[in-house]
Amino acid sequence: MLEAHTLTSMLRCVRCKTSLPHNVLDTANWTRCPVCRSPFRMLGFPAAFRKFDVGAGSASVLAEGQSSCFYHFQKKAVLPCDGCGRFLCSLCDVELSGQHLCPGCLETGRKKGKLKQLQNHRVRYDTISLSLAVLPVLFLVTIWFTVFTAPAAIFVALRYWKIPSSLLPHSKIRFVVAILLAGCQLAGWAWLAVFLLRQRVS
Amino acid sequence: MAKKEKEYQRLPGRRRSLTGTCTLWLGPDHLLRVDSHGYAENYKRFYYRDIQSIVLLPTPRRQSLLIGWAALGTPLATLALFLGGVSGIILGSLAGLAALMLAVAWLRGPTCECRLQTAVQTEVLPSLNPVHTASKALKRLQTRVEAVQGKLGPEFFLLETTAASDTSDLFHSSPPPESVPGAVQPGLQQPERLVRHSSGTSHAVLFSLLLLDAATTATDIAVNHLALTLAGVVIYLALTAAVIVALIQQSRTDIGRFLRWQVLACLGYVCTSFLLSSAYNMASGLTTSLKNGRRVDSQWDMLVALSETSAWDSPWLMGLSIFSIAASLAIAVPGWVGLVRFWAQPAPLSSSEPLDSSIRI
Repeated sequence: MLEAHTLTSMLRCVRCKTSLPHNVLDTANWTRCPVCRSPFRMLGFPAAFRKFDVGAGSASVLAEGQSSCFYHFQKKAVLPCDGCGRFLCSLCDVELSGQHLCPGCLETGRKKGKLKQLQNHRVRYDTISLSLAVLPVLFLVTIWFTVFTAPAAIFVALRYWKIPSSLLPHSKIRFVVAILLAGCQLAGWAWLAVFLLRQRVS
Repeated sequence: MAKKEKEYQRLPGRRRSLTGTCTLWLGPDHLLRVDSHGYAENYKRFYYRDIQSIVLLPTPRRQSLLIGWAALGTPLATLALFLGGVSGIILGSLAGLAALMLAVAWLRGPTCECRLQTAVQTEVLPSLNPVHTASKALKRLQTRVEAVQGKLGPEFFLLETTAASDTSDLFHSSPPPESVPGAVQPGLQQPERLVRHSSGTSHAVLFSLLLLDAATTATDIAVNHLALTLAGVVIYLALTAAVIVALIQQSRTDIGRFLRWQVLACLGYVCTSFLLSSAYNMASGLTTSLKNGRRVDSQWDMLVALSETSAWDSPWLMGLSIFSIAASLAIAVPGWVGLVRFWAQPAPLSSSEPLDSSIRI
């Protein structure tokens, strides 16, 4: 591990960019930069000294009968893609959380949201559903909107019930509350409609 | 049956803003930053193997909040005592609210900015804002990162120093860094872009003008004279110029963060004071015209009318004067204390001249 150091570390003062000595790191209290005297606390890790790996080049096909890369016919295949099974050279092999994937599978996985490690955005359908059920009830003026928002809340809850709403641990409680509230609102409207019809008939 | 372990564990701290909230979560092999914007979440991953350093920098947010709430609450409380009645109750309630906010800011403790650095980016972690929260969170994060990377020992630095000196011998025939006057400790490399040493003169002028402004306003409450009003206007204009000069002067210097924030607070005071004074002058000019039948056509007429009005007769002018005095003192006094401390520190570099290029790596 010690061989993998660079000439200068990345542990530098935030203000004056001076490389910092070991004794100012991981201190319990505030310490100061020896050059510009600005106060800070810093935790340093060995990654600051890590040399960047040089990418391995792919070997050409040497003998007749050797497998070649699916994307580069003249290059020797080193392993199959864990997603589609195509042979890949070391240039096309992308490692992601222990899996070896080809660029095509990576792109497909990203687009379809199958690779969780590549997701950086998610829509909170449970919050949308709950908002549709709750917000119109808060104000007397907007309570009439529940004719439209209550079915919409139930639709959103049922349509996106199985779709994971967040990467973080979440229960389905918002969906449940939204369905119950919207159900009550619809029941209220149904009762009102029946009541008005009876009034008209009588 | 063993309970299924959660994939993500929440780190303490949450930053709320108008656009949403920001939280941090410890994952199996990465730190996850979650920015929630109501109906959507954005994620950013920092893999433990890539984290190079985490830096905490003290921020003057707490001091600014304390000064701000005190500067707001004091004139409100004073006005409430002066006015009494319903207005007094309303202003008193607002002063109480300011006092409550001041207490909350005090109890939250000192604040900091947390920056996480990898080989390709430096990211601010806004949820780790109070120092005690950041310390708690960093302890847990440090354990995870060290479990992946190992501990950073002094052996890394020894190797680096050796390698650096060997290389410098190859490229430079000039004396080593230790022999250069004013050079830094061995093992430290000078940056490419140096910060200048500030003399602090512009800040001293600014804080002196603020004290003068407070004194003039206080005298103006007691004595009504055109000369005093004129002096106040001249001091205000000088203050505006001094703020601009201080802002320019402090750029890329070693002046402390606290003093920088004091200058920004002064800029805020100058702008607020301008808005409030303009509103008052317009209203008072209109009132004078209606009451006395005297036309207020020019700035001079307005100045004369203002000099003839006693602060004791107008509660709004009294409020404005008290705000001016409180804000000036709230900025100038801590500013001077900070400046004296800054002057007491030894200057890291002897002058603003760049160091000899031979000691740069």
